[in-house]
Formats: sequence, structure tokens, C-alpha cells
Amino acid sequence: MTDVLQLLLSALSLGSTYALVALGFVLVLNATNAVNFAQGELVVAGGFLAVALSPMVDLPGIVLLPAVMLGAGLIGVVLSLVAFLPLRRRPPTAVFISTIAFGIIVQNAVLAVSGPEPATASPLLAAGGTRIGDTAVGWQSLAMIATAAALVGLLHLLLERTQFGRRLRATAQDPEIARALGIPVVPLILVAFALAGALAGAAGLLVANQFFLSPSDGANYMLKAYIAVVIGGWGRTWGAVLGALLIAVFESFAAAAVGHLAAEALLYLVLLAVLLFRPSGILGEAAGRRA
Amino acid sequence: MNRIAFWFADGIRLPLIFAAGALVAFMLPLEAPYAIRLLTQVAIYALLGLGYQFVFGLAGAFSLAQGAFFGVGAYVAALAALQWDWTGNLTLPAAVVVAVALATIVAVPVLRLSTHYFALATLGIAQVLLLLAIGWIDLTGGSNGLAGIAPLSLLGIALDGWGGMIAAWLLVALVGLALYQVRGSLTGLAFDVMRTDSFAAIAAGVPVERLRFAAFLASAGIAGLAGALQVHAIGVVSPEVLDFDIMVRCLVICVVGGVARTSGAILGAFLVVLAPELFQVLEGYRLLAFGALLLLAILFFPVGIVGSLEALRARWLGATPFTQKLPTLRAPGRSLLATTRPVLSLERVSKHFGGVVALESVTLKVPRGEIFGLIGPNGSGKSTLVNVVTGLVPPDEGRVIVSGEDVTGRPASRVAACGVARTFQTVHLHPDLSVLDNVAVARIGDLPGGLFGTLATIGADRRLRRARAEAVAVLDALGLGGDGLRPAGSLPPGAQRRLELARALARNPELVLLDEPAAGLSEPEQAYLAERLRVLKTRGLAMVIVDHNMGFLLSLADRIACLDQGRLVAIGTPDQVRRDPAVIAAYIGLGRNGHAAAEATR
Repeated sequence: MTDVLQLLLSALSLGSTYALVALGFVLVLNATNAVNFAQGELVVAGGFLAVALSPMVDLPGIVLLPAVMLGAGLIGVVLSLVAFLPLRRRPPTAVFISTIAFGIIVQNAVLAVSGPEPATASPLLAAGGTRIGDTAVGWQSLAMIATAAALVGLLHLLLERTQFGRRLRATAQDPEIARALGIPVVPLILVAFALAGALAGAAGLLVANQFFLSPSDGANYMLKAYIAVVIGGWGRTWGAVLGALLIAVFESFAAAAVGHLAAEALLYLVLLAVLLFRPSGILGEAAGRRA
Repeated sequence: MNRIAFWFADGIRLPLIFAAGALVAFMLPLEAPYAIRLLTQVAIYALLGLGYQFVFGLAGAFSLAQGAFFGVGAYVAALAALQWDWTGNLTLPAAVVVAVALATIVAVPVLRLSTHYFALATLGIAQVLLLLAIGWIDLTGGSNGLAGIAPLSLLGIALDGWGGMIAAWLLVALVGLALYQVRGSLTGLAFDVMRTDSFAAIAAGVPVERLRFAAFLASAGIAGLAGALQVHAIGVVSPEVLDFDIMVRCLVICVVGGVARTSGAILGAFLVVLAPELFQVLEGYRLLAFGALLLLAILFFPVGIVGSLEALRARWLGATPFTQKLPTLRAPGRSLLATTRPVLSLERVSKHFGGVVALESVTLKVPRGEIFGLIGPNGSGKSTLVNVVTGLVPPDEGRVIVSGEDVTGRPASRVAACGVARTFQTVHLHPDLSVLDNVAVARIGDLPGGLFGTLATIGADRRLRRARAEAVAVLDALGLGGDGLRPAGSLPPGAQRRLELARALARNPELVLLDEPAAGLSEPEQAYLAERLRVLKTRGLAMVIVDHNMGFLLSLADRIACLDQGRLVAIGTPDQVRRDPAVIAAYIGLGRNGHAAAEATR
């Protein structure tokens, strides 16, 4: 029982970071219809920003969150300016390649600055933890879940309560109509990429303490976000959050049962199975397919 | 003078000259063993890139598993060499066979996916293989990998140093020639069309799935071969061969070098292997430089170095003259005997999109030699009906029967093979391709000899020549004969519609579905089109014509059916349908409750 609780806790903390990454991914997808292959590298950039900043200020990691989100958000804006906007009238493959290239640049820039060693940043609130019954509960895990939940909540408010959110949803539903209604597309795209970067950066900060982060981890986060989005239903914002939690639970429990590598491999096989049998995702109905 | 310039600049010669020149230039100042090692690496990466040209360059499928197949080939060759002392005679074929077998298995879930689904699914496969190589320590040696693999030896001859390099380059030449042949063939034309516009490919009857599959397997096999060569060349294998780095290099080779081109892959390979060696400053920043290069190339030179050179050549020397002499052939057309069996029959076909009824229990028959008009207000299900018949959309209920064969639920390319052709409401042509080739590609289904026939031919593809000759005949029949060599995109709209019809007819169909063929046509153009269609009718062709233009249809069609909100509300001769109250009601816009309105108009 204790083990199960322990696993669930670590799954939730992992899942909350996946959820942030996946949300950023979906935001860009909905605003631009583009798949951002550099999303994982934005996590790495955010994480290493946190690693670099934490020795400078002797404060808990949570204080760094705004700075890290700002930094990663800026990288997101640069990404859209360099690798998306010039290519948006070209076939989708061009954007795949440009975002992959941007990701390689970010990853290797981090590598050049920080070296290949896995790094860690200061804890969000405090190190150590407490015990609930027989279960050891790390402050870090709790802080991760709380921070991610707060960010998801804020994003929810942003999407549901603001003009920006309404415009983004309108664009996601029908880009043609949105354009015809005079919704300014370019600023919307820039903001979506900035948000995607900020969310990924936040995820990077969260994982940088709990797990070691190395410059080559980007592909892993990108793939996890993608799987979360596929499972949650393509382009569905809240489906992505649920998908992220689901795969984190799957990953944690499978890793406990058969080992880390096998669990990863199993997850990809599950992805292939989902693509084969339910290309529209396993949560909810197919999103508006039209002739 | 110009002819000589052309000869040098044309097709495969340019890259061969480049390769030879580069070879000499780099060999001269270098120590022999070092130069040989480098040039062997160039050959191996060229091979990897050539393989990728098939799936990415030709088929346009953005696979991220090419690096993984390279790794698989490397591991297979290493294991075979270490466990059983196999030499290159067996390790190279084994690497190819395993890579192709793996690609075949993987293709089942992955290949029908499109764009990013395909990209990420292939990336997932690459990831699984990487994890396997790290985790299955007993077999692969885990992170440390395997060492001590003997240099290449083929047919009893040890091929290290010079020999290995020459063997690798011979393989490059072989595969490069194959790519070059395919690109210049009818199959290459089909690849070009399916990469540019999948609807155009479907309309031309291109077997899209089969070509994608063949290209995917070819890529995997060639990557496996390259991986095996690599293992023999460097003697060790570790999970690094499955890393994303290899895939990045592969992208750089093809995108920066030139997509789909033999010369692009060879130039690109020189770039990724030699650039880091030449610019030692880049040490440690190699991937950073590759990323930047890739980004710059996709932003500013989307056609790559070779594509840009080709564009320059076209500007300086003008386009390559089209000198091919075409034999005159009569228009293709099997004799369509008059039988009573209907060409098309729909039985209680229904289709819903979410809660919207697109078709509701539609039953109708179209016999040979009939022009069948289909009318109805916007959103009444006309285009859905065409899409259901041609297999673009599967019906929810009911059966679609073409010439006695039940094609319900079959993919579009299989339906097309039953003699069904179509045109689209919006024009789907390859705008850069000549008018002639837009039609010639549609002959792919009928002409014998496939990919292997193409590979066995040396020189110009006879199948393509024949397809073009037959295309000329079809173009003549539709009054487009004089425009054969213009790019299709430069034709006026009316001519583009006739070109679409020509492409449909080139498939020698028994049934053609025309979606709004008269839209945007001037009166004389409409009259000309109607006259052509009547001629086709006398040859036994059945036609279903969807149009808003009642005047055009009333004078042309033998029978007309009217759809309203997915239901067939009237069917009969043009005169009957014109007077039918349900039709009038549908057009007044009161839908099925419109009988009252019809009463009121009396």
C-alpha cells in the first residue's frame, strides 16, 4: 500500500511536469496548426537557466520561476520568429525541420555552456520531506504538483476568461473564419509560442531539482508531450493534461514492475498501438472530422 | 557550345564531376590512410542519405527512423561478424534483410499515418530501438557496445583501406544510379505528384500506398547497408549509432545537399563528413553548426545546394530542351461494349458527419454511356456522394458497386483501379509539371512494368515515353495538344479543368465523376466542354456530373437526380426533374417540409 502511494506521488509529480510541456505543445498546435519539435529543448533551456541562476541567489527555487519562465518564453518567441513565421506558407515538413534544427541549436548551446554532465538546481521550497503514515513525502514532489497545478489553473483562466483566450480558441476551431473575423494572427502566434516556452521552462525548473537534467533530455520530454497529446485527443487542451498524468502513472508503475528502460519501451509501443487503433486519441470522440 | 555545357550540367553528370573533383582535391594534400578513412566515411553517409532520398525525397514522408535503420544494420552486421565469423558476403545482406524486415513490420501501424503522426511514430520506433540497444546488455553489450569487428571482406578479398573505400563508393554509385533512374521514370513522376498534391495523385490513379511502402523499405534497406559498412569500417558499434545525431546528419545531407537528388546526397555527405574535419574550430560545436546549417538551408535554400545550382543552370542556359520524339498512338480506349449491367450502383448509402446527415439512404444506378447529372442546393451531399463513390470517404451504411464489384470501404487507390476516375471541385494539378506529364502520370496504372522494370532499364524510361505518347493523344482529344509542354499552372482556368478531365480519361476509366466541371468557365468554354463530353459518351463512358449550373446540365444530361439534405428527392429526365415540386422546393430552400411551398407556387 505504501509503495503504491509512493509511486502515485512520484507519478503525479512527473505527470505535472509532462502536463506543462504538453499544454505548451497544444497551445502552439491550436494557434498555428504546427507541430513544435523544439518543445523538449525549451524544457532543457528552462532547466539549465534554473541551474545557472540558483547559485547566484540563495533562495528557494520557486523564486526563480518568473525569471525562468520569462527567459524560456523569450526563447519561444525567438523560435517562432526564426523557425515558424517565415515558413508558415510552406508545407508542414519545412516547419518540422526548422523546429528540429532550432532544437538542435538550443540543445548544443546548452551543452557548450554547461557541459554534458547532468545538473540539478535548488529545491523549489525546501529539501527533505515529511511522513504521512508510512509514506515518505518529499517537499519537492508536493511543491512540484502544487506549482504545476497553479500554472495550469492560471492558464485555464487565461484561456477561458480573456480576450486572448477566446481568440485562441476561435483560431483553433477554424483558422479561416478567425482570419476573416480580423483576429490578428501574428501576435496570437507569438504569444502562443511565448506561453509554450514559458510553460516548458517552468517544467524544466520543476524537474531540475527532483530529477537530474542533462542537455540531451529534450527529445524525451518532446516525445512524452506528444504522446500525452495523442492520448488526450489531438488538439484538446484538457485532454493533454489528462494524457500527461496517465502516461506518468503508466511509466512510474511499469518502471517499478519491469525496470526503467523496459517501461519506456512499453510506452512507445502503447503509442504505436494507439495510433494504430484509435488515431483520434483514447479520451473522447474524434474531434470534428470533416469531408 | 551550349550542347556541351548542357551535357556537363545535366542530371547525374554534375554530381559525378563534383565527386571526382572533390576526391582528387582532398586526397592530394592528405596522408593516404587519413584521406581513405575520410572518403570511406563520405561514401557511407552518402549511402545513408541516398536511402533517405527514397522515403523523404521521393515519397515525401518525413521519417525520423532512418538513423535507427542505420543502427540496426550496424548491430546486425557486428553480431553476425562476432558470433559466427561471417564476412561481408553475409553480413551486408543480413543487415539489409533485417532492416527491411523490421521496416515491413513497422510499416503496418505507421505507414498509413500522415505528416507529424508519421514523423513522431517513426521517432518512437527509433527510441525503442535505442532503449533496446542500451538495455539488452547480453546481446548488444549495453552502453559499451561491441568491439573487434573485422574489416570488410567480400568474396574472399580483404577490403580494408583502399579496397574498402572503393567498395563503398561502388555501392554509392549503384544506389545513386537506381535513385536517378527512378526519379526520371514514370514512377518518379508519380512520386513527384503524390508529394506535391495527394488529391492529384489519387485522381491520377497513382498507387500511393504501394509507392510509399516501397520507398520506406528501400530507405530502410539502404540505411541497413550503410550501417553494416560503417561497422566494418570502424570496427566497433555502440548505441551511438542509434542516436538522433545520425538522423540529424541524414537531414543535413538531404536538405542542405538537395532533396530527392542523387547528387544532393553525395554533396551533403561531403559536407557533413569533411566540414568538421576542415574547420577544426568547430570541434565540440559540430552539432550546433549542423543545426544552424539546417535552419539556414530550410529558410533560404529550400531546394538545397543542388536545387539552387539547377535553378542557376536554368537561368543561364534556359530550360533543358525537350527533344524527345514521341511515337504517334491513337487514343487509349478499350472498347466499352454495350451491356445492361450498370457501371455504378449505390444501394441505400448513408453518411453522417457527427450529427449532420450528409447522405441518407441513397439508391441509384448509372448505366454505360449515360451522362448522369446530380443537382441540389449547397450542403445537400453532392460532393460527399462523389467522395463516397471514389473511396475518399467510407459510407456508414449501404453498398457501392462499380461494374459488378463491391468497392464499399476500399481506399481511393483501389477504387480507382476498378475504372473510376474523377475531377475535383477545386483544381488539383501539379502546377510546375508540364501539361503533358500531368496526364502521363495517370497512365501508371495501365502500363506494364513497375519499379523493378524501371531499375532494369538503362537510360530513358521506355514506360515514361509510352505514357507521354498516350497522353498526347488524350490531350489532342480535349483540344490541349498545343499546350503539352507548358507548366500546368500557366494554363487559363477553363483549360485547367479540361486538363483535369484529360488526366481522368487517361486512366481509361469506365466511370468518370466530375465535380462542378463548368464552374468558372465562360459560355464558349462550357459549350466546348459539353461537346467533348458528348463524344466521350458515344464511346460508352458513364459520367456523373455534379453542377450548380442548371443550364449546362439540363442540355447535357440524360438523367438528373436532385439531392436535398442528403436525400434523393427526385430522379428522371431533365424535363421531369425541372418540373418536380420537390426540386423546386429544395431550391427555394424550404427543404423537405417544402411541399407546402410547392403547393403554394402552383
